[in-house]
Amino acid sequence: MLLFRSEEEARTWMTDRGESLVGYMTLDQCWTLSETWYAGRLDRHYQRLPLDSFQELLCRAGLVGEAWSLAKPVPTT
Amino acid sequence: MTSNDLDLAVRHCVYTAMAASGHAPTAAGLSLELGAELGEVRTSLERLDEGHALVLDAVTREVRMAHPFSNISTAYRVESGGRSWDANCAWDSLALVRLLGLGEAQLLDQGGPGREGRVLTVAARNLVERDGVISSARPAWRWWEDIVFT
Repeated sequence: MLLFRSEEEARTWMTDRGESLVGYMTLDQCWTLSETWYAGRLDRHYQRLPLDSFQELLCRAGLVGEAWSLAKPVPTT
Repeated sequence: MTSNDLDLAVRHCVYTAMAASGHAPTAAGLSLELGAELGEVRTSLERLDEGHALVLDAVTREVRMAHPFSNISTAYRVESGGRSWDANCAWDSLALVRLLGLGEAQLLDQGGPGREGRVLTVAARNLVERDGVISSARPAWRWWEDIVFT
């Protein structure tokens, strides 16, 4: 995950390299998310949060939609 | 010591060292520090890697990542109070500041081909510059398919 000045700059950089910008978060969102995402990792008895809890942290930072889904999408028939 | 106790001790040793020095101990170093057989420590590291608690180097099987810390040099570095740490990515550089509770820090993005470097500042426990975005090249459910790429 790389830092860019803008969404446009990120999209152009990725396109130039044959990749696509699947999602992006603003620095504001990342700063918010960073407060909680790794909380407790320095504790001896840290246990990873369940997937739903990580998903909730993304949601609270405003990161929703397919790009931010931690669960593999179920194919529709 | 049960395997679960050993895993807790190994993980904690790695994180404590990364926070203090920016570098993870080797398997041999962990073995000495914990008084555990080297083989047991290596097996523990593999379990922690499998459980996504740590990420081992693909070749050496030593610690490469203890999120948000990186045990190898990267484009993202955090400096504070004369100390420094490598982060795995842009997101992890911000997260590292939060995890360590750094009040003042500089986040150095060294840039790369076609991408300018940049310095972000944390002052009074707050991120000063807020203009910018952090990219994701794959959906979140695929991050762990190749966490080094992510």
